[in-house]
Amino acid sequence: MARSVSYEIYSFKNGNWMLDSVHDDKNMAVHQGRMLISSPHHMAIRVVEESYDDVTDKSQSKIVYKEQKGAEDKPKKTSTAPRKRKGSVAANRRKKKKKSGFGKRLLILALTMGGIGLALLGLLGFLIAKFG
Amino acid sequence: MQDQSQGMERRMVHRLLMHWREAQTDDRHPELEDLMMRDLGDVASHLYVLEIDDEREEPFFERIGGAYAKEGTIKLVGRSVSDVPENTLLGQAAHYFSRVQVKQIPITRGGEFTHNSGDVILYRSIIMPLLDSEGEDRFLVGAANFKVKEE
Repeated sequence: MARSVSYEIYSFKNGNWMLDSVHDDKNMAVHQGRMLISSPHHMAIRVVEESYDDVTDKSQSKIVYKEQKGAEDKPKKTSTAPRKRKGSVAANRRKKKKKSGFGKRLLILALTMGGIGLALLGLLGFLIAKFG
Repeated sequence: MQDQSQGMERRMVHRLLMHWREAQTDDRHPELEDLMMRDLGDVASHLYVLEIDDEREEPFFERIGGAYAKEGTIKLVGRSVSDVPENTLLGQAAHYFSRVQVKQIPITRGGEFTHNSGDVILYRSIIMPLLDSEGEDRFLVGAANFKVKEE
């Protein structure tokens, strides 16, 4: 036989990818993979197709099936409804921040103008007292 | 069997692999006894068990199921794997035992061969590692089923 193909099932357990079983039939391997991911002990499953060519002495591997627990939940987390709500809260906060920033600046401007006015009045008083 | 009536996977090797997984109590392989105690249904007669004995060069057949009676290989209990004729179902089903022994994982395999009866046989087989009651890797359990290829 020039080319042999096998399907290796890898399971992610305790922080490592472990070889679970080897099959010569893709459907069987994928079906097994699906069964494994539905059990609580397996966090992720990969079925890797390993092909070896006798003539060229070359081997190739590619993932033909992969499944990860929690992968289905991700789209739910990024759904529009909770995002909209989150977005509006953030916008309100930004608006509030904008408002309070403008008030601060107004207060500083008033105080500065008041200070300058008082200084001018003081200078005017000093000039009147000195030169009549 | 119940799982068949529920429309689940019907292939025998698949069902046996599911039994093997369910017999596991932790990350280690199940014990031979734990697997054999299960209700294996029609799979039971297709089973054979290889025992690994350090004093022998090769594993030998500890038991062989009734499904191998017709081809005559059932009488090979106590004999080594290499004693099984290649052109028999048991010969084809057991010939890759060393890969399972080395890798210590279940391996399934199928194929086509000309049986010593003259029929062209399509078969599917599995071999899985098992522990003895003391937790030692001492057994390999295998099974195979077949159908005659129609011309």
